[in-house]
Amino acid sequence: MTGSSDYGDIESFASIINGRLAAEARVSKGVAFGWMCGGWAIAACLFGIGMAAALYGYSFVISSRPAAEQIASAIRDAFARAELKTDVTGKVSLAPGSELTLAPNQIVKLNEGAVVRLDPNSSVRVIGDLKVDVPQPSKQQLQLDATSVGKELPVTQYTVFKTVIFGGGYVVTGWNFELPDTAHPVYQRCYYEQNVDQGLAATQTIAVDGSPRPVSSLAKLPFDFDGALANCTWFSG
Amino acid sequence: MPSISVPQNSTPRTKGIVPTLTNFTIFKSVPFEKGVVQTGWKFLTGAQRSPTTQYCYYQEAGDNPDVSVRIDIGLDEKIQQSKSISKSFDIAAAFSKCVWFRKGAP
Repeated sequence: MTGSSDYGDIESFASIINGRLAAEARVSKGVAFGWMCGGWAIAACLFGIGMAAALYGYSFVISSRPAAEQIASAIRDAFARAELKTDVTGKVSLAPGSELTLAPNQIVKLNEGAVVRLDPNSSVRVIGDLKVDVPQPSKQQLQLDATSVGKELPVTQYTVFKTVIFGGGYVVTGWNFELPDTAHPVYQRCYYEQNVDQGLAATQTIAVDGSPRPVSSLAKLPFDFDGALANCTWFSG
Repeated sequence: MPSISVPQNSTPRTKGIVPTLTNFTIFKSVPFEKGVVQTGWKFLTGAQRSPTTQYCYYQEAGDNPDVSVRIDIGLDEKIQQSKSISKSFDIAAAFSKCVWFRKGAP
């Protein structure tokens, strides 16, 4: 082996090595470039996802419709769960001619001491028992067990007299009550009474149970019949 | 239009208070002959414990229902004799049918 040929071998060997190193360097460069591209791609994807999420969230902020729906939903849920307690006060008016019907077993009660005012032109129809505070004589005054000398038990009645001074005499209305029903008189008589002499009086029937009893036109009355009739006091309950 | 209202300052009505009865007469009727003997106890108020006056009479209806005969037979537990009464009418028997108020009764 000669020296020049040795240098030639070394040079070729070195160039081979350099070539191989250069090739490996290019391969490594390519691999690195590939990794870098992958990294950029992943970064770009993550950035895109982040941006999409941010934009989606921001859309809820700038859009009024979902917010209104949420508020409405929240209010609806709140009302659904809420328990309302109210006191209703005021005045209830019914239209003329209207009627109220109670539900079965429903009862209307008035507070103790409450006063019900009715329109003067209205009428009230009561079905059932109606107790009216009509004054009546006491048991001591009635003496229902009192008898005659012959021990006969009498029939007891009483008459309430309403007297009005009229002309030279009186217009007297007698309300005749029978026991035990003392809520209404069984018979009412209105008459004119005038003292004729001491212990002596004359009477003339004017009306019975609200119906006038006119006298014959041939009879001359000492008083104004129509005027006396207007002074009769009839039982009104 | 009917309306119902509860006055704010309404005074509750006291229980058991009933308007006072005034100027009334309690009649006790006992049949006698063709008519009836009636005793009237006259009270001026419902608070009186005994009548102001008592009178007793015999009453007999005529053919006309608006006309009747009335004979006074007693006043305040005393018999009333009258010359105008027919002798055929037994006033003592009629007077025994009068029912007088018992002042001592409970």
